Amino acid sequence: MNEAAAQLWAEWSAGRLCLQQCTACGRSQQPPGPVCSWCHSTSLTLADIDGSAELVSWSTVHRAPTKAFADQVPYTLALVRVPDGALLEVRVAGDEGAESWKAGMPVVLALGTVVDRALPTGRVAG
Amino acid sequence: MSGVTAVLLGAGEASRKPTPGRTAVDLAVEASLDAIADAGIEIGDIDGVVTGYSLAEQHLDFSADLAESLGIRPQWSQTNSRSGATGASIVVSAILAVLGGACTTALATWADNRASGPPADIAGVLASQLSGFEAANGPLIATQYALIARSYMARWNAGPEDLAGVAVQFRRHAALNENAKYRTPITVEDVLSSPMASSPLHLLECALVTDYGGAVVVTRSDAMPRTPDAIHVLGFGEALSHQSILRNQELFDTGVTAAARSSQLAYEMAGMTARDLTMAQIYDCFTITVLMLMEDFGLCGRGEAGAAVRNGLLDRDGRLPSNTNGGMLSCASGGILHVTEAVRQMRGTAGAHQLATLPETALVHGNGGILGAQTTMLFGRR
Repeated sequence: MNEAAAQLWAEWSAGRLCLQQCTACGRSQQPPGPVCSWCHSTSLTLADIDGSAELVSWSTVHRAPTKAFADQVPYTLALVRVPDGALLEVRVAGDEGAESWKAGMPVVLALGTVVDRALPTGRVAG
Repeated sequence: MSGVTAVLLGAGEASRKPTPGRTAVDLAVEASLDAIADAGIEIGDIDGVVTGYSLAEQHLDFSADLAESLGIRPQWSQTNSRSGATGASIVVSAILAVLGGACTTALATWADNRASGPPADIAGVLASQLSGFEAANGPLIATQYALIARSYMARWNAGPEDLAGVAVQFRRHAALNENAKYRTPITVEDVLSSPMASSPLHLLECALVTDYGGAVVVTRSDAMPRTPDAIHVLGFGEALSHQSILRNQELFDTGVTAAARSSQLAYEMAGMTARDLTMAQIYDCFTITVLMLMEDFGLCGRGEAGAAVRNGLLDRDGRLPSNTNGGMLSCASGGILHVTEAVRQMRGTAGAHQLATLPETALVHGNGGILGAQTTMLFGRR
């Protein structure tokens, strides 16, 4: 894991909803890294986000990838885009209507816990 | 390319019957000896070795294990790790090595004991290769492809039956291949009623997990023994767009992958277009992969791949027979088998599932990661 990733995990664990943002072009990226994937600047910082995002795609997982997830299937993962540009993959609650969701629907992000990790989770606000 | 070119002298495969205790190197040796015999050369003629990696076993340098097992001391060797694209990519490495003068006759081999060897849960091993920010949420590799599939389906108004048709088509080919794992014909209904892996992808839309071993012998046209049925490398191209799908928004915005670039590079080198192809062997880890790659290769228009498959484009009796051994969806794991199958079909040594007419040209493609690493090769019989 790179240093930027370790810092982001630490901030999420401390309860701060943030992402890596480029101070040169203002865009955000996931996963975090040493270079901005948009403009190649190395001036990067962790910036708070307001939790707004849009739904890009989603999938309901029916077979657990590892034992840690075995008692949780089925669950739905969504790919969401935040206003500053980054794509995030998040666990979404309230997925009963998932098969009728549409790309572009608003998603509200908040820190939650998946297995034993603190990370952003989503709720589709359709 | 003009002047000296690279040629493939032969292809070999290992038996894929699961056998407790059989190692990845055992499979690599079996495939290599088969390829060397098929090429009509001696083990001692090999002066270059390039191999893929094993997921089931750890090796500091797989190519060293293989070379030593074969009793040779090559002047050029390399172990490549380019996820699923490795099978095609090691052949490109061998081509570059023989044309660049690093060696004269290279063996390119990829093998893994994914069924016989430890660990039992390859799906979990693969999923753990995703970035931590993805893996923490619990995706399968299939989930990442499913996310891309859902975007594709919405963009082009494609239905589940469009994806399922790919699995049905390749099973039809597997039915004729005595070495394919699954040979009983299936219908679209069978695919769509199989258990969901990660929506919208069903279990019958996901590649098999089997043992595999495949190898080809690559040399220079001016060093070639008089073998009229050698296969000529007409062109190749590679491209890499991302490790994590979070870093490549085009997968969701346009659905164009780096395979558009890799195939364009190969066509340009060969002076060919998609219309010049008479066979294709397309990396088919999931049904969606094939539809998107077909469009990147220009085999049909954007959004038209599902209909093209339904209309028989890829059928062994169609205009562009593809994945004639049943592919990864019905025959076996391992992108190297797309290469060996292409060589066998073009040399007329494919056995019971041999095409009636030897293909004059072929596109062979490997895809790695989550549609990130792409390798396209174009072969010709002359």
